[in-house]
Amino acid sequence: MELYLQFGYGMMTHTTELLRAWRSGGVILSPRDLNASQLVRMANAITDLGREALLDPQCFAHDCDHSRLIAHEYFQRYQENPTGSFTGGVATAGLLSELAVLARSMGLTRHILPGPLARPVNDDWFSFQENTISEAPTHFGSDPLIATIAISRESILDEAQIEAVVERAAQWNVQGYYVVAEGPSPYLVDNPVWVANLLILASGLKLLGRQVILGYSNHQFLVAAVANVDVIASGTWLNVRALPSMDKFYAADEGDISRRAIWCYCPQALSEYKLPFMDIARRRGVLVDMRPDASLGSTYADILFSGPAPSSINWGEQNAFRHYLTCLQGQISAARHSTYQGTMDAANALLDSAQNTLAILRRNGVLAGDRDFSPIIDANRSALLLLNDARGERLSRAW
Amino acid sequence: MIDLAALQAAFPEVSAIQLIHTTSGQRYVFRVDHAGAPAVLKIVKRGLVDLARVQREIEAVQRLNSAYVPQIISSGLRQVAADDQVFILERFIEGYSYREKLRAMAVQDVGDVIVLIEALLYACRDFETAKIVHRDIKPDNLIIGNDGKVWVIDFGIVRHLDLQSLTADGLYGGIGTLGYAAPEQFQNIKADINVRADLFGLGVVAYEALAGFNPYLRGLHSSQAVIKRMETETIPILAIPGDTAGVFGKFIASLIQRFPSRRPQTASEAIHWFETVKQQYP
Repeated sequence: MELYLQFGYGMMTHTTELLRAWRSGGVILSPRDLNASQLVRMANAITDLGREALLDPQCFAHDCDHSRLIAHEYFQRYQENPTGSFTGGVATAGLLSELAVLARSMGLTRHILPGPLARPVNDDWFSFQENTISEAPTHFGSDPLIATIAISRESILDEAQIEAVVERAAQWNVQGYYVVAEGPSPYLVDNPVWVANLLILASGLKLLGRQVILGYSNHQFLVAAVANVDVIASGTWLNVRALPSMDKFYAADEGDISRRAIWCYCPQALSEYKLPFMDIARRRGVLVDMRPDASLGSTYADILFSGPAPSSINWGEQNAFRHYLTCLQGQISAARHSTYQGTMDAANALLDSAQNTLAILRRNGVLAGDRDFSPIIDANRSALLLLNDARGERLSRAW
Repeated sequence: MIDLAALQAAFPEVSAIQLIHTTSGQRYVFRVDHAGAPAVLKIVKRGLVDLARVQREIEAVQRLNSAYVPQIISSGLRQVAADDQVFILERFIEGYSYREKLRAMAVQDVGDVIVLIEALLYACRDFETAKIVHRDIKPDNLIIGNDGKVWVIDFGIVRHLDLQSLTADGLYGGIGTLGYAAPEQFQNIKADINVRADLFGLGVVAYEALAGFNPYLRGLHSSQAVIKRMETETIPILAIPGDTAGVFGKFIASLIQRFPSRRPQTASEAIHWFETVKQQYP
């Protein structure tokens, strides 16, 4: 499994810095956050580093009004069709034609196709997908295509809807699927059914023999390795690590980056901590338990473990983001094993280990607030069981 | 009721005609002698849908040429008394139905069930190759020959994947036998119906043979209750003698998964999978 950066607000410098430091990875660029010339510049910078740039068309909501997103030519074509139903013909061709113009200017060689949020999965949604996929080669030639499968939280909770997606997606002439799941909570998800069904969806798509990219993701989805997902995409701010709603694509959400607390990721606890709580860890003698394993490759937080109280150190959000993403990249690289069972065992071992670390830290008053992974551990464990029931044998045989 | 004398007159090439089964006065199955060997003569009273179905049944068996399906000797239209009747004359298999075998002994020997599953998997592969779905795999439609060979009979509701369906899409309560037909069959989701539906029926038969009961029918007395169980409940994985690694139980569980995408996707995939199951039973 591989980490791609889910591009968001203020990520230009992080992107090139991190990709330069990592041995793998790519970027999913966001037209909501970049205008056309910035997209071209970023795509070129990424390609120059020998990494893949993809463009997420972000056509999740037809009526969205985010100023930067709707300024793009392709998005204007999308919104020119008043009903939002794309049944082939001029409207679909217009949208894809403009998207292809942008993609060519960026030098992209694989293309994420536009796809609306399924609320619910129904014939209209399938019709959009299938008409887009059928029209796409006219505009993108023989370049590989990736279908967007964006699913509402209600649809994810319905097994019949996710299995209907897997059945239909088997017929689509695409190289991969870009899965975007609307979450039931702002960040980490403690609903085991939602987590399980997302894994079941992703694994079902993977068993079709195509690439699966899980967008808007975070460390909770290290378990996606068990579903044999190829790529998870994550980023800096929470609005690129999870998608609790489509609000970020509307103008009213422009002030999205307002709360700027600094969080330090503790990968062995799968939790993030504010620096004053790391001070407590230092005073209680358990700061060493929070230090990331060197094999994960992050040196961004080393200074926090160098002696002085962490909160006294000028350690800002730039380091926090790079530390999080580098640790996540290391954890993702190690998540997949040579067998399904080995990957499942490793995922469960990571949860067990996090539980132990969290218990030690909690006993010492080191608390992670709403980024404490404790309530998520049970959700992930149950989800893995359900995934195993649904597809374990097939995954194991196809591994 | 068909008059036997009229039938004999219409089919001079057969003798010793005995009625063995009838369905709603529309479909009759006779045992006959033909060219010195036993045969089965099926007569279907003409009706628009039935005629088309019988034609599909004939075409399916002819297209199949499977070692697990009795071959058709002749077929067509023949005037019986004053009416044109559709007929199929096919080879008779000396043996007994798997339903009779289950009635005699509800829980079957594991080794015998392995032989049955293997034969049915290869039969399903033949169906898949011929682009047909039997859609009615159940103990009544399986014959165990006196030599132990497994045969699949009754292609009366066969679906040809490369031909237009005979029924409309989306009619809830699609075709098949309750308790054996896959959920996508009774939900009539035609796009999802392929060999995976036959693998589902195979899985139910195997479960029934090993457990001594049909897991979807046991204790229920209404079709609604059976459908609800099939749509909402997960059947417990069977504990099977000798299945020390649990792979046999999981294999059968995979065949009867509610959603087709969770079953083996092809008969060949199921055959390869079953090879690993068989390794436990040298």
